[in-house]
Amino acid sequence: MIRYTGGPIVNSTFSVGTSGDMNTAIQTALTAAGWTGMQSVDPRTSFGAWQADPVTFSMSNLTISEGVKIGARVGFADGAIVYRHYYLLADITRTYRIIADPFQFFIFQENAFSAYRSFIAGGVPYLDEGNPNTSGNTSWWLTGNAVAETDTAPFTTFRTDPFVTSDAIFYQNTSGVAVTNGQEIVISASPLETALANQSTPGVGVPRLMWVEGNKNQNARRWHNNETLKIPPTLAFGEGTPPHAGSAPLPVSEDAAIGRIAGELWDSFLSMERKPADITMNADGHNWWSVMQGASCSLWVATD
Amino acid sequence: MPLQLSPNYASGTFTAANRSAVVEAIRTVLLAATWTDVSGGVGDRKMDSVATADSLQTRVRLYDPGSGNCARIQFMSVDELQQGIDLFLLPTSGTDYTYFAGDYQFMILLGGSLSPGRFVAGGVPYLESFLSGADAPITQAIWCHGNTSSDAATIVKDSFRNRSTLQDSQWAWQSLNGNAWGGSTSGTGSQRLAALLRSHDGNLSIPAGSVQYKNRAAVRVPPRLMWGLNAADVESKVQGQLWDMALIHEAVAMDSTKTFEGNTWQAVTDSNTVDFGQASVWARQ
Repeated sequence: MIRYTGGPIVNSTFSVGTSGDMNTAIQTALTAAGWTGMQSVDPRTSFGAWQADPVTFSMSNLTISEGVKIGARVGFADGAIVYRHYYLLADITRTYRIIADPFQFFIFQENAFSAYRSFIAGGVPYLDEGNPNTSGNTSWWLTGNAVAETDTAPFTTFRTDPFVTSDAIFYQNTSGVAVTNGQEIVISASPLETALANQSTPGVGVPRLMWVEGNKNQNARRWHNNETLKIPPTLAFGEGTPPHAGSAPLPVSEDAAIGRIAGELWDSFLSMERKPADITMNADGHNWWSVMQGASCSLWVATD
Repeated sequence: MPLQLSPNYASGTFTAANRSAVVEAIRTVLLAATWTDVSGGVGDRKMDSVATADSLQTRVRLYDPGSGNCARIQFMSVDELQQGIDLFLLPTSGTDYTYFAGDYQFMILLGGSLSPGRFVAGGVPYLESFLSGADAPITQAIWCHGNTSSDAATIVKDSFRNRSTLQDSQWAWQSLNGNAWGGSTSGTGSQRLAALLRSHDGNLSIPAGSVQYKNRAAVRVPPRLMWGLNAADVESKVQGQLWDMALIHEAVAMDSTKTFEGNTWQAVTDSNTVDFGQASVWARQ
């Protein structure tokens, strides 16, 4: 079942040459999508999303021509902070598209898949039956294809694959400590589940989307009428830093590193069919945008 | 999509000391599940399932061949134009058979056993809206398989008793819109269930627990049955959903039970650590 937020959904483009203009364009889009808690704190702008669980993302201007970095952070009771930032380049020759709903956003350079600093996505997932939506249960995710201003080649993200081998952060807290919308998240340090991926091959704990196929044949992916199997994009990731790598058998003691399902993306579905990115379709009474390029499945995000 | 429960359902155990007794015991089970007699007498019966809302229906012949080891179960279309292979079921010998039978499907297995000649299942599936549309309607869909390929009952074939796919070994038959095929040749078109998997796991050593929620609960999905249209080397596609069954991504010992969705369910598949996601079939008790 596709998890619809009910909107508002923003689907717009921008081309900017300065960091300030990029910051403004993203803020404008997220505000229109229902994001709240915008705080103009020069030079840094914070913005928040609220589901049943609050999270604060932040956006900072880089130098005037370099664009912005978008990050997420969580502070612990012991003073420790976990955060990551991902980078978008301000370049007037680039057309960026932002598709955002109240809980989630995708920002990417259109028709470009190998460009560095060209993709950031994140949000808070729908929490399903195995991750009950109880008070204080916090979950969010954020990833991008550049982790530094100096990156010149993109990491693997949902722009090109159903898994993330770039540095990415996925977070889930099951401690049950309540937090308030708009505040910096302060929780107890345990139990905390984060996954930071930074490896070239998808290991057992790497953040990834689940997919569906006829066991055990990757060519069995269609209904009788030739419609492709489609499922909600379901996020799974392991705990620890980094998740278990490669194809090595997983020791029992590393059970926690196995990628398990944390929730589902909103207003989107995964289709078990290779499709180019940046094309559109109509289905289930909505228009959809293909975000993922060249993978053996495709990720579609609602644009209305 | 919720699990599909047939309106009339019977489960339990029976004992049958000889081939004819097996026939009569299965007939009694199917009558309880509201199947109807078509023809025949003691030791050789033909019975029809109830027709689903999509008008899918099957006929089954249960018979004692008069010699040999096993009773025979043969699925076919109700007009008998498509006739399936014989499935083989040994008489009981100390342990009762367990049965799960509804209006449209039945499964018979020997508790605690993976031995050949101890498992038979078949019926007609539930059709989701994707499958009954005007663009490619399903007007006939029958499936069945057993876990041995001959009366000698010495060769073990894969079945839902030990796998969620028959792609490596099968004794199965199916018919879709008049396209009937079956036998022991397995491949990409063999019966299998669609599973929820982690993307690109085909390249990895799959650990236990890879299809779980963060709270360590195994993911449960509707058991969507796939097979290829007319041959073992044809792409498997979803042709429908099993009735009164669930697919759970967890390897547990056969015949274990658990409760969900208001019913008690029994593990049909035994400790499936072979297939991706440890996909295992569970039957409603």
